[in-house]
Order: sequence, then C-alpha cells, then structure tokens
Amino acid sequence: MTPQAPHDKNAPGFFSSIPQATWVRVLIVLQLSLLAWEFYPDLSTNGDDARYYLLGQAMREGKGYRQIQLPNAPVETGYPIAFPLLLTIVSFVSSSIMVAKIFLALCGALTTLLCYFLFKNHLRRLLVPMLALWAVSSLMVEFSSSLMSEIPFLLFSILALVLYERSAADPKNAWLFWLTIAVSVVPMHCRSVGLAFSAAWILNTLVDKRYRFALAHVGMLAVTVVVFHVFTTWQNSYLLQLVQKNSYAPDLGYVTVADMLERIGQNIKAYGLSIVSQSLIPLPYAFPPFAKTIVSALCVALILTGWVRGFFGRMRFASLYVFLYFGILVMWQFQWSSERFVVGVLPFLYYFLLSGLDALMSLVVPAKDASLARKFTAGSEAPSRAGGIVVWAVVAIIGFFNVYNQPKDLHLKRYLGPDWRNFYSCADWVRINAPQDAVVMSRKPELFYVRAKRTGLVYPFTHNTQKIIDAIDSMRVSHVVLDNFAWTATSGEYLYPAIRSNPGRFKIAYALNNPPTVVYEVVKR
Amino acid sequence: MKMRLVSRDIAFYPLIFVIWTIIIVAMHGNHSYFGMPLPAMEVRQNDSDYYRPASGGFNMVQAQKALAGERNPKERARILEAIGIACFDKYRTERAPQYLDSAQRYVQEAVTSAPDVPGYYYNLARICTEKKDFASAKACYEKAAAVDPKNYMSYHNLGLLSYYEFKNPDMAKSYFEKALSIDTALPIDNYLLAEIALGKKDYSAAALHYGRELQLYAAGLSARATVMADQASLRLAATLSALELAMLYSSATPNEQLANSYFGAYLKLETDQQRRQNSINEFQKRHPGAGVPAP
Repeated sequence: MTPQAPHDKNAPGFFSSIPQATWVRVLIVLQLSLLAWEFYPDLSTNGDDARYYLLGQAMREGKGYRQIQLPNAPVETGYPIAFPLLLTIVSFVSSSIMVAKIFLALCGALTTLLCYFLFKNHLRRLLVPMLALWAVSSLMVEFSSSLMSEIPFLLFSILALVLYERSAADPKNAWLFWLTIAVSVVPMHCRSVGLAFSAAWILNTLVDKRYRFALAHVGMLAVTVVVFHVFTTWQNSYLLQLVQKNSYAPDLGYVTVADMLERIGQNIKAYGLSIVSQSLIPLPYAFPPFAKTIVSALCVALILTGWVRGFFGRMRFASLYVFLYFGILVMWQFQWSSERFVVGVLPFLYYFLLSGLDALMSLVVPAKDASLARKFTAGSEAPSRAGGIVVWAVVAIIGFFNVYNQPKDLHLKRYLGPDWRNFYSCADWVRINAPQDAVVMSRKPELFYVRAKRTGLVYPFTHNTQKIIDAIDSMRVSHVVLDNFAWTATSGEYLYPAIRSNPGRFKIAYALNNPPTVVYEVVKR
Repeated sequence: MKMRLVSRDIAFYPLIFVIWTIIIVAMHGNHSYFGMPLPAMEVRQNDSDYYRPASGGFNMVQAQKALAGERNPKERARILEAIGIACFDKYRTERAPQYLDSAQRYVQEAVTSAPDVPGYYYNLARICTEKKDFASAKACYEKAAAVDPKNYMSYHNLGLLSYYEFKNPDMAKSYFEKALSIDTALPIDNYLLAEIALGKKDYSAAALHYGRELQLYAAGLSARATVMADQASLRLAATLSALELAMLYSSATPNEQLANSYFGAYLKLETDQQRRQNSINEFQKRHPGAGVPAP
C-alpha cells in the first residue's frame, strides 16, 4: 500500500502541489497501460521462458524439479528454483501461459510500488522522476511481459530491502525480522547473480552493526541451499559456465587467470560503452554513432557520480550491491553479456543516474548552501527551480526513447516468421498424429514440448553423422523435425547430412514449403 | 510493520490490478496456444532434393505477390531481402550476372525500408563482394557491425577483405581479433592471425594462433560456427597450421619433440600428396634422420 507521503517542503514548487502517493498511482496506471499494450499471451521463441514454465508445470504435476520435456525427465541443474516455484503456485489458479504472464506483469507493477517504499526516504524530490523512468522503461515492460526470472528477482530484492528498513526500525518485532530474513534469501534462489545481493546484505548489515541480520541471513541461506540441493542435485551448471572458456565449445577447456582478466576487460568495455546506457536510454539503431557515444559517456559518468554519492550517503547498500552485481556480470562469458542482465538492478541505476544529475545540478546551479562538498553530497536538500526543470527535461527525453522503442519490440514479439510458423505447424501435426510416447528430435525441444506435448531432445552439434544416428537410437527417437530457421543454420548443417546419408532410416511424415520443413518418422533398425 | 496505510490505497491497488486482469483476459481470453497444422505438401519419399536449407524452396511468384500487397515497411524489407537472397542463390548456381544485379537491387531496397536490420547490410556486403566492389562491401559490413556490435561474421569478413583484397594485415588483424573476442570458436581467423604474426616475425604469437586453429579443428569446434567456408577450407587451415607449427619448432624456436608431434598431426591431416612429399623433404632436411610415418 502507498503511505501518504508528506509534501517535500524543499521541493522547488514543480508539481509539488500533487502528493507523491497520487503520482505513484498515476504512474502505476500508466505502467499497466504500457503492459496491456505490450501483452501477448504466447511464449517467446527464445526457449528460456518455456523452460521456466515447464519446471513450474513439473512441480505442479508432482514430478519434482525436473525437465519434463526431455526423455527420462532429468533433474534441472541450471535454473534456480524460486521463480519456477512461483509459477507452480500460480498454476494452481490456472496452468495457462496467459495467467502466468498476467502474474508477471502484475509483479512488474508491484515493483514500482515497492521502489516507492524503498526510495521515498532517500530521494525526496527525485523520487517521482525516478519512478517515472522505471514505469516506462522498455526493459521493464519487456521483462514484465515474458516469463523470465528478472522481474521476480527484482521484486524480492526490493521487498527484502523495504522489510529490512521496517525491521531495523522495529527491532522487537520477531515476526517481521524472520519475514525479512526469509525474503532476503529469495533473490539468491531466483537468479544465481543473487549471490551479489546476499554478499551486499551481509557486508552492509555488518557495517551497520546489525549482526543478527547478517547471521540470520547466512544461516537461512545455508539451510535453503542445502535443502534445495539435497532434494535435487549438487551439480551446478552456472559455476561450471563461469569457469568455462566457452560453454558452446566446452572442449576449449577452462579459463586461466589471464583469460579471466581478458574477459573482465571485454565485459567492462561492453557494459561501460553500450549495454548499460542502452538499457537505460534505448536509443534507436539509426541514431548517429557519435551521439550514442556521447550519451553513453554522459550516462555512465552520471551513474558513477550517483554511485559514489550513494556509497557515502544514505544508499550505501545500493552502491555496494550494484558494485558486487556488476562484479559478477563482468566475469560472465562475453557472448552472453546483454541488457537482460541489467534488469535486475535497473531501478538502482536510474536512481544513480538521477542522483548524479542532481549532484551536477547542485554544483552548477546556485543554491543557498555555500559549501561545494555539501552541495555534492546533499544536492536534493539544496534544490533550485532550474535544477527541477533540468531533471524533468532529462526524464522526459529518456522516457520518450523508452516508449518510442516499444512498438518495435511489440512487432518483433508478436510476429512469427515463416520458419517459426512451419516449426509450430510441425508441433501441431505431431500433437495430433504421433503416439503419446513419441520422442521428437528438434532444434527447440522445450517449445516443441509445450505445443506438441511430446518429449524430445536437440540433435548433437556435430558433423559426425553417425553420432547423430547413435543419439537417435540410444534415446529411442521416433520423429525428427528438420526445420529451416532463419536465425540458425545448425539443422541444415548437422541434422540434414545425417538424414541424407541414411535415407533408409527416415520416412517423410509431414512436409511444408516456404521454407521447406519436414517431420520424419524414424524407421527402427 | 510500521507502514502507514492510506485507506483508499487498500482498495485502489487491488482494484486496479483486478480491472487490468479483466481487460487482459477479455482481450486475449480466447487465444489458443495450440493450432491446427498447415496443409502438408505432396512430397515423394526419399526426395532428397526437397529439403534445401535457406532459400532452396523459395517461391518467387508467391513472394512477389506478397510484396505487392504489403504496406508495412519492415515486412516489405523482409520480403525484399528474401527475394534478393533467392536471386543471389540462383546466381551462385547459374552464374548469370543479371541475378546478381537483381539480388543487389532487392537487398538494397530492403536496407532502405528497414535501415536498422544488420542482416540486410550483411547480405548486401556479400553481394558486393561477389561483384568485386570491395569498398562498398567493406562499408556494408562496417554498417552491419555498427548496428549489431556482436555481429562477429561481419568482423570476420572485414578481416578477410582487409587481408586478401586490401592487403592490409594490420587492419585485418584488428578485425580478426574483434571477431574472435566475440566468438572464440571461429575457424580460419586464428590461422590468418598467425600468418600475419609470422609476417612480422612474431613467432610466439604465430605459434599461439596456429595452435588455437589446430585445437579448434581437432575438437571439431569449427563445425559450430556458421562461417561461409566449406569443410575443405577449414581442414586446410588446420593442416597448414600444423605444418607451420612443425616448421616453427624446427627453426625459429627449436623444440624437436613439439616439431615431431606437430609434423605427425600435419601428416594425419594432409590430403594433397604433392605438398605432403615436399613437406616431408623439407622436414627431413631440418631434422636429419627423423622418422616420418608412411603416407
């Protein structure tokens, strides 16, 4: 719920007659409008959301934390459990994809409300601009519209911080304390990068001398991690991926210290020069490169300023957390670096950006407070009308680029190319015509399973056709889908030669044109 | 919790969430994730020519009709590019220059309709390369890379253009390094980086890159990358890498054990009998008495 926020007496008179709580309501309505506009009831074609959905379904059906789309349903070793568990709970209402996506969208809106609770004591007149940026962020809309774990991760991170502030202010309330601790370990079980949240939590509570929060968090984390692994598996593919040179080419082996330093350098460059600024201010592709560079440099400079300000000010936790979060991101394999990973700390980055801008304005625009250092550290306490205008102008520009991007994203999400249409048609054909125990080899088995209701697997990425035939035989594959995806050539490169060199083993069961796509029935030896 | 609640908010947020949910369900409630399969094509069993990756089964008449009726610029661009690539494929089969001109025209139009799609620039660059208009090809690859900074294939091809056509090894080196920084499993790039290093007498860098090229091939990783190179080219890059490593360890940085080991790897890979014999002669000259396996 939104508390009635007191009017900021120091505000520059800019919209200050409207209470902040009213602003929040307006922003959440605006956010929900954007989410309604972007809403589409299907899964995306990336496959990750299908995997989350299927893990939720597996637990709903009492099959445990297993990949039910694969033959023999092996235990999931890659994805943390919190988000699939949430989807399991939602699936008791309805197992439809649309209901799960409605839940995710509402989580996005709830995050705005929680951001309000978290930042209202720290940001004052920058609070509404910051919430406005988050509410129209194209990344927020994108990830609140897909079944991915980024938004729940953010929701629980912020909820934990809000509860922490309440619990610290009410130390005798044991229920609140344990609720806070329980919520504080959820980010770690939602995304592996939540390790940064736990580390920041422990460090910050130790510095604050709130040792019981640190100890209880460590205890709760240890218990939940052990329980999770006892009931699933001790394997952790994320740790393996961190030390692998390239997970798509595992034979390359593991990184050396020099490789890791090189990777960190590449990632710092990528995040610093483009990914972070593009996440906050998604400039169109056609924007002149030099202008993009300037915007990017400005954005990073302001974020760094805000970060320093936060670290030495009242938002030390945010600064510490974002630092550790990016510390993990830059160690991640370079080919995966993208805007997606920034979503988990996006409101904090908007906070730093505005805080940096505020610091800059405090230095440039004359204010009552004379000390330069004081202006820098407490800019919002020495506001000016000009400063307010500049902040709102910047928010309007950033907001415009975020909203401007959304119709394009919408088209990309809703439009299925002919290759995907044919692939899904093959899934429909298999669902209607293949036996229940059919095992289908295809390029995207999780998406195929959702639509065809048949287990399946990907073909091995090898030019050795015998290995593919061996995989077909050993996994008792009954059907093979030879797709013609525009985004990858692997089926033509690996699967097609195997089929062509063993014509007696494959019988065309269903074929489509434009582009040619075939379902083969495997002839048993 | 000391949370100050405003009574109207207790009703406001649940209400707005419920209204939103009702609107979404009303808008999409009858959406079905499942569909009916599209009508199947009549295909003879064992018709191995039926399936052609990419544009092999492209229906030009249908595409032209779709183009005539399409008003959305992005969708038009997609169809234009598909027609252009079909023309390009036809050119590569029949070698008739008019197909190449048509391909260029269509893909250029696609670029004009949707200037934010890196793939269109990339394909236009391929067509320009085929027309030996290398300056335009370079500009298009650069544009593709600018639009999509992770487009390692553009950097790879820029490296090839710089090395073979513009004879600028320094420029080629920077492009190959950029491509490999995005995809470490790219074949051929390490081989050419090694050749560049060898040209500058930087033997340690040459040995490193030859070794990586060989390692990639040996692990079968080259197969993963979608480089427009056939298996013979990939094997040749690995073969020559093994040979150069054997020679490097024979002369520049002598190490008999490594030289023998790499020469053994070379002999396993080599398919050209003449080059094989020449290499054996050269190796035996550098290592008198070295045992060379029979072909």
